[in-house]
Parts: sequence; structure tokens; C-alpha cells
Amino acid sequence: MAKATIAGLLTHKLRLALTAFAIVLGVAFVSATLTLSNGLQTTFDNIFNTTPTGVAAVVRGHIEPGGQNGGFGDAHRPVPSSLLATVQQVDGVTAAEGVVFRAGAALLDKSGKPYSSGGGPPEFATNWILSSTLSPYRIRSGSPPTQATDVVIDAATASAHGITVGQRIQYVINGGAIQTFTVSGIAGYGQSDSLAGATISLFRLDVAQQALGLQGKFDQIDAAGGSGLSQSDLRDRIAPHLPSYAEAATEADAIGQQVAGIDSFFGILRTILLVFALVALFVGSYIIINTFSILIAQRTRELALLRALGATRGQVFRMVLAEALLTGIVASAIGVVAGLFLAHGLYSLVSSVGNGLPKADLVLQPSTVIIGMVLGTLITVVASILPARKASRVSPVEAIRDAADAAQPLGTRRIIVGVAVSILGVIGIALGLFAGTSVAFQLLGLGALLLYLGVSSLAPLTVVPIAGFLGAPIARFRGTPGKLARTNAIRAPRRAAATAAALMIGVSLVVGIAVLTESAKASTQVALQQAVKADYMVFPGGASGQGAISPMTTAALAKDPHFSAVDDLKQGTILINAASTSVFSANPADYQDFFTLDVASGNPNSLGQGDTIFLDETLASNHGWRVGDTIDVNFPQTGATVKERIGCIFNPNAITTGYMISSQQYAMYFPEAQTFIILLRATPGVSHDAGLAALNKDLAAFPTLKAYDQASFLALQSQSLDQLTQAIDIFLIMAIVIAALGIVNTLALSIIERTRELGLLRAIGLTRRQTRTMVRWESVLIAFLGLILGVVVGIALGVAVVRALAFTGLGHIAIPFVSLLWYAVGALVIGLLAAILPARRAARLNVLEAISTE
Amino acid sequence: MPDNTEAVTTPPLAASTPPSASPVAPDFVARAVDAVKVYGKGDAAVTALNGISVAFKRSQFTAIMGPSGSGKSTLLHCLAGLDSVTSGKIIIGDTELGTLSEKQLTLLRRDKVGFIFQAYNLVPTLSAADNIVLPLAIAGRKPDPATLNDVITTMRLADRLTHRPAELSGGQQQRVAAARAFVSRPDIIFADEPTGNLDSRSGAELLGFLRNAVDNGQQTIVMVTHDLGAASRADRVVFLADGKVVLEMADPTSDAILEYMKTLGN
Repeated sequence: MAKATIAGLLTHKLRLALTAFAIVLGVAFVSATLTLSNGLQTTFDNIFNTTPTGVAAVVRGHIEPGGQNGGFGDAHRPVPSSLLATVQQVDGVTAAEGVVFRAGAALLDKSGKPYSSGGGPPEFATNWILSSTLSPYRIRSGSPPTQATDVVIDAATASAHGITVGQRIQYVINGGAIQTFTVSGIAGYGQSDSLAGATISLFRLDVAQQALGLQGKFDQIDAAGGSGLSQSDLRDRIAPHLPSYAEAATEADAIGQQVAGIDSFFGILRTILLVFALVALFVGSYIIINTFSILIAQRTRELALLRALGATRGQVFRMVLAEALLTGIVASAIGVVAGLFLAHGLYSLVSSVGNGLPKADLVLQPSTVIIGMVLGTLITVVASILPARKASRVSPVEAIRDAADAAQPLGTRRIIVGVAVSILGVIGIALGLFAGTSVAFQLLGLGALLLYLGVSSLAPLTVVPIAGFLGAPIARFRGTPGKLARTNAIRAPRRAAATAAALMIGVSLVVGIAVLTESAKASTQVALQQAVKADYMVFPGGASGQGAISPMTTAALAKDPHFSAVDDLKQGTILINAASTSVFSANPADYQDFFTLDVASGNPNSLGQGDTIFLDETLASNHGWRVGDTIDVNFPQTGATVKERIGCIFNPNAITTGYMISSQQYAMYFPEAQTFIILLRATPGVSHDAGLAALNKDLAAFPTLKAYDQASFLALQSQSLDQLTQAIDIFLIMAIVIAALGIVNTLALSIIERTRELGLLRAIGLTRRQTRTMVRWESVLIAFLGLILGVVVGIALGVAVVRALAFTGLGHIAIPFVSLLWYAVGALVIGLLAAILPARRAARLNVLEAISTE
Repeated sequence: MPDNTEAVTTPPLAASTPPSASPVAPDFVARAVDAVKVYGKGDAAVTALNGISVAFKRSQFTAIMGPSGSGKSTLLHCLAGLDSVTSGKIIIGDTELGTLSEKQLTLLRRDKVGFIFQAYNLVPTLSAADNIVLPLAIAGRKPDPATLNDVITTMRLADRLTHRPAELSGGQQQRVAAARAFVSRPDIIFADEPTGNLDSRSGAELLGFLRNAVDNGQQTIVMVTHDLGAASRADRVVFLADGKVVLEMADPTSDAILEYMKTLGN
């Protein structure tokens, strides 16, 4: 049988090549994802692990959920600078220094605009560490910062912007006003030019503390120990001297936490990319099932002959599986290697836009090879089980009978199973979205998988009505070739359905995302119109909206007579039942001048009453809380737990969700304030445009901040949503390309199957052009079938997700009709492109040979 | 009715022409003139047609017979514009096929030629009615209702029109194929072993229809066959051997054909 397997593969090598290509693409995607993320992760890990300092132990506050002192690991509370003396006096400590290290030092170019628009690598501000034992920084040229206006910057940033020692450069630190510094030196991070591509600006300690709002505080105290003391020895010596708010850790543990933070970031990135890759492979499995099924239908005689000659069912079954196994292994191997090249391509692509990536060694790791090979081969073999079963059921008598082209009707059993699987899928999706379990994503994925399988198995039922309906105009305007295209598309509903279902998957994801995006835009718009009374909003510019706002900005703007009311909203993290969640604060005296709450119950004027909290209706109903209830709220920055009375419950919208407290409470419980938006109202008599112009003029002193009115705010939201959507769509294109290959494959195989019929049509006068028209429109019909199934499933998925995200203020479901029109154009193009080769092949058929084909 | 007594010989193109006719022999619907067809090259070359010349008069039913490999099918394919000759000429009406482009050939087949194949060759997805009008539909023309009705009635297909080929018997399918050939009123119909797959009753019935189309519809038919009975229904039989015409027999009878076949066998 091995001989028959190999011979079978070689006879159909072109058809198998098309099938294998689907696997190659999917596996290449997996392999590229793993290679790229592993390479980058290793690079980042190495920077931390290979930069030796003499630091043996660190002292810091306890972990602060939602804190800003993050770096790459968990955020810790800062400690008072007085603690330094305690650490220095510990027996065994030879050197100790305080460090502040936070993001938010925007470097300005010569025109006064930030170099980075946000969204790039972070820009850290920190202090120059005096002890060379403790400091990872090494001066490359110039000298350390000694004056209040001195700064040392990392060598990578200096060379990127052509900054030299002695040059004066401007900064905005923490969203404040412009400050001018003189570059006193340029430093490397150990041997590296930079810390993983981040910009690092080193100031004198007091300057850094002042700029970051950490006067009298350190984020961390670094300590070195005498020789003979291990890191854990030093930690254990320091620990007993520390007050309850601080903890000691070995440097190795601290670095381990940073590395773990990086690894988990790349882990998430890898998971997201792998999901896309798996979608592509899943789509590929449809192509495999379809191709193997068609090949087996076409080889019925050959299989029957084998059976007649004494091959058992098991042997036939194993023969087909063996074919799949060989195909899977070869295709996966090609895919793994192709993935390496793809990873290099992606790396250059990402490096060329934005701020670039650190150098990464992109090599195939054994794990990548194993995962790619196993996934690709497994999917191929599993996908071939159904066709193999069908092959094993070919009866020997079919060797002498004519192979029937008749389409088998769907059995009742298949319909029942299809419906049941679809329902299970819907249940899985619903549980994933609404049950709030810890395995929500897994349930969602499993549910979607089942839904796709269920819908795919029912899809043949839709072929005749949908393709029949869509085919009517084609038959009308394209004459007989159009009519033949229509009958060809529906003659084998299972085949057409399986081909279209592959396209359905990609389309449904694109449509689902579009529904989500459109709904988000609509929800924002409605919330703006209904709830926001502020004329202008100010927050850090750029689509990413990163960065801070200094409290002095609000004060400065409040002095401008163009505005009758100016105030800001602040945010922070609180713990409710030990779970961290975010809270925002507003001034009870004037917040209703800027926005109104859509009150569900309670009194919106009660915010100023002591220890009162507002929250949205979703939270209230999830926890079963009512107005007047008292809840325990923990404020991690101070550690205080406060019994807060619920004063008002409001309906969430795209602007206001979650928990809300008064600015007085915020000032008490959040020593490190975080302003996220400034709201302004124009003075009566000041026109909208005049107010905006005045605001922009005021903001010239705060170059990291931007002014928005409702229209530009909405545009900004839409723009960032559109960018995200585009990024996702690019990854989904892979799934759609594979599905398009599936159409090519099905058409090509159908044409081989219909050789004799095509010969007849050509003999009785169908021209080559008409033949191409016929194939082309059959292809378009299949593409549209996939489009329609995809749009239906996609809208259903999108609406479900929007509903599930109602707690984030996504209250409005919007269907992106304009996008749907574009998708229809896309389906048309896919259909036309997929038909090119099969149509050419059909038109070039040798008529005489074709009509004499058996 | 053609004149059965006339000894129809292959007309050398330039030389003798029937006295009453114009110089280009207008009564011939299709002709092969010195047609040579060689398959393959060099040592592997096989000569299927070896300088054959044969002509087909309007409203005449010709059967082509000959042993396997004598070039029957090749001749039919070349005459029908499905295959090209290596040298010599094939002329349908006034048109020499060698001068035509692929597209012109296709249009000629569509508009001037009808086919009946051994294996029915219907489009499985179309109903009998749609199969019958297919050549006209491809041309974007509507069938003449009277003709269509006439053909359907003659072929006794009125109650089978909505059926798909798979739902028809072999005889019915071949009648649909014949109806398809007749309905566009082509200049000439080529039939390749049309009774080969039919039982004797269906075969006889089909031959009756063909005969009728020639007698009452002035249809020209050229039929390749192995079947003595089928050949005996024709107006003449052209015997081929080794790619050449070896005999033309007017008003053939089964016995006469059989006698001749025996001599060929020797």
C-alpha cells in the first residue's frame, strides 16, 4: 500500500501542491510569530541579564496595583528618602543610593515639538547614580549632571537625534511646562547604547525628584554589600531594619521580576499573533478537507479497483491518511522555514516604521520547529479523517460503475448535528462573554470554533437559495455562460459550501471587528452629544494618549478669561474585594458644568458628601449594590480602607464608567495624583473658534498636550479605532488569502472533473471568452456565498461582543454598512482573482481530448 | 430526395465538376480535399488521414465505415472543426477551416454544425429543454418556436423537457442530443457512433429520426458507425481504410455492406 500512497501523491502533485500551500502559509505564520517574539524577548531579557552592577539588594515599597512606578514588572510604592539612612547603616551594606525612575520625560525637538508622538518606546526620567558600583550607566562622553540644568542622555537617543554634549535641549516632564537643560554627558546602559530602545534622561537626584513629583521619595533604594555577602545574605540583613511599608529583595529577584514582566508582555503579544495564525491554519484545514474530498471523489474508480483487488477498508483509510501525513510533514517543513524569512521581513517592516526595534537574533529555535511541524501535520491529518473515511467506504462495485456526479442531499443526521454543534458554539461564546469566568477567552475561542464548524456543516443548505438568488442577475446579464456559472455553483452544494465556509471565517472576523469599531464610535458620539457639556478637552496628544498632565496646567488655563469654567479629572486604582479597578475623581462643585451623569438612582449632587462613591449600573447590578449601601474601598497609595456610601448609580456610557469619587477624597487618598483630562467651557460671548484658538495658544507652553473639541475628540477616537482595526485586518488577510486559494483549488479540481462537459460546450460553440466568463462568475458566486455567511456570522459575533462590553459604555450597536459595501467589492475581487488560473485552464482545454475523456 | 443512382465520386476541386453546378460545387455542404492528418513526429508519426478527398451533398445522409484505425473519427473531427488537418483543405459551405482563428472556428461550430456523440454528452446540470436550446442560448439567440416545437414533437420529448439528463434513459438522452443538433438547423450534423451506446430498439428509433430529418427536413448528416444496420439507413456509405476512401456505395443494403466488409477483411 505504501507504493500506492506514493504513486497517488505523485499523480496529483499539482492539486496537492495547492493544498499544501494552505498549510505552508498557516505554518509560516506560526513559525514567524514564534521566531520574531522569541528573538525580541531574548534581546530584551539579555539587556537586563547581561548588564552587571554591584547592586545586591533593593529596598522598595510593597506592590501597588495600578501604580506608575512600573518599569517592566509590577509597580511598587515609593519609600520616603529618610529610609536611605536606615539602609546605609545596616551592617554589611557598603553602598546605598535612592533611585527615582519613571516614564514621562518628553524630549522636544528644535521646533519645540515632542520627538515621540507617544506610542513609541517609553521615555524615562531618572537620577544619576553617583556610586559606580551601583550605577548601570557609563559615561561615554562629557560628564555626569552636577548642575540643576544638567542632563545626561542615553547614547542611542543621542545618536538618533544628533544630540551632542553641551547642547541645550528642552523637555516636558510629567506633562508640565517646557524646561530647558544642557546636555552634560552621554551615557551607555552598561555596554548597550540604550535600555531596550527606551529613551533615558538622567538628572541630578533632587532635579529628578522635583520633576517627577517625588520630592522626599525614592522609587527604590539600591544597595551593595561587602565581599563574601551573597545577595540573599544582604537582603536578610536589611529586612529586619525596615518599617512595615517597605520590603527588601535581592537584585536577582528584582531583575527576575522585570524580565518576567517583559516575558509576559511578549507572551501576550505571542498569544495574540498565534490566535491569528491558528485562525489561518483552521481555514487551511477547510481547504484540506475539501481538496481531499474532491480528489477522493475523482479517484473513486481507482479506490474501488484497489478494494476489488482485495485491499481492506482499513488499508484504504490508512492510505489516505498516509498521504495526508506526508503532505502535512512536507508542507509544515516548508512553512517553518518560510516563517523564518517572514519573521525577518516583519522585523524589517516594523523596524522601518516608528522608533525601530533593538537588534534581535531571529533564528529558528527547536521549539518553533517542533510546534510548527506538529501543528501543521496534525491539522492536515485530522482534516483528512473525514475524506479518508469516505474513501474507505467506496464499494468495489464502483470500479465498474460510472462515477456519479450527483450531489447527495444533506442527511437529517448531519442537520441535527450541525444545529447542535452551532448551539453548543453559541453557548460557549455566551459563557465566554457573559459568565465572567477565568477561562473566558478559552470558552470564547472554543465557542467560535464550534459555531464555525456547525455553520459550515449547515452551509450546504444555504448554497441553493443564496447562490440561486445571487446568480439570477448574473444569468440575466451574462447570458448562457452566466446561467451555467450559476448551475455550476450550486451543483455540488457541499463542495461550494466548504469552499465558501473557509472564506466565511476570515470575513466574519473582519465584520465582527468592524461592528465592534462602529459601535464604539457610535457610543462615543452619543455619549458626547448627550452627556458632555464641556466645550473643549485637553489631554496628551497622539493616538495613544500616553503621558501625564501636570496640575499646574489646569491652574494656568483657569487664568484665561476665554473660559468660564476649567477643571480636571483625575484617575487612580482602588481595590474592591481585593480586586483592583480604576476610579476617577471630579470636583463636586462644578463637574456637572462639564458632563452630566445618566442617573439610574440616587442623587448626583451628593458627590461632595464625605466618603461618598458613585458607580455605574453594571457594577451595581453585578455586586447587587443599591444607593445607600456601604462598601469597603481600599486606596493602595495610602493603604487606607474606607467605608464608602453609594450616593448615586449612573448608566455607563462611552465617557463615564466605573467608580467616581470627589476630588477632595482623591487628594486625601492619592498623594501621587494622575490627571488624565482637563475640561473647559468657553465664557459666554466667546465663540467656539475663538475659544479654541485661545486654548491652543495657551497650550504652546505645554507641547505634550493637545486641545480637542467634541468633533476632533470623536475624530481622534475614530482614528485610533480605525488604526487598531486595520492592524487586526492585516493579520486576518492571511486567513482570507488561504480561503481564496481554496476557491482556486475547488475550481481547478471541478474543471478537471468537468473536462468532458467543458469539451462538449466548446464543441457546440461556447467560445473561450464565454468559458472564462462561466468559470469567473462561478468563482464570484462562491466568494459571495462566503461573504454572506461571513457577514451574518460576523454581525452576530460583533453584536454579542458589543453586548458583553456594555459595561465599558458600549451602549450602541452600529452596523458598518459602508464597510460592508467595501467587503462586497472585496469579495468580487477575490472571486475574480481566484478564477484567473482555473478560467484560463478551462478555456485552453483541448476540445477533442476533452470530449473523448472517460 | 437525393438521386440515388448518381455515382457520387470525390470531386477533384479544379477538374470535373457537375455540369449543372457553378464552378465551386455549391451543392456540397462539406468537403475534405487531399486532407492529410499526421499525429506525432519522426519515427512515432502516425498517419491518420492519408490525402483523403470526400464531399457531402446537401440533404444527404452519409455513413462512414471502416476498420479501427482507418481514420473515420479523425475525418469526422477534422470535418467538424474540432481538429485541424496537417495538409489539404476542409471546407464547410464556402469556408476553408484552415484560414479560421480559434474563435471563428468556435463560432462556425456553433452556427453551422451540429453534433451527436456516442456518449450523449449532455450538460448534467441543465434540464432536457435547456440542453436542447443550448447552442442557440450560447449564441444569445432565441429558438424559433415552431422549429423547437416541431423537433420536440418529432423526438417525442414533450413530457421529458424538465428532466435532468440523469433522470432520462439512454435512448431519451440521445434523442435530447439529437434534438439539440436539429433545433438550430445547422448546415450539417456530425454523428459519431450515435447508436453505439443504445439498445437495438432505441438505436433503430434514433436512426428513424435521422432518416426523417434528411427526408423531410433537408438536413445533411454525416455519421460514423460500425453498425451494418445503421449504415444501411444512409443514402451512401463511404468506406475508409488506412486514411483513404476505398469505396463509396450508394443506396447501401446490409447485405451489400456485409459482402464488401468481408472482402476488406481479406
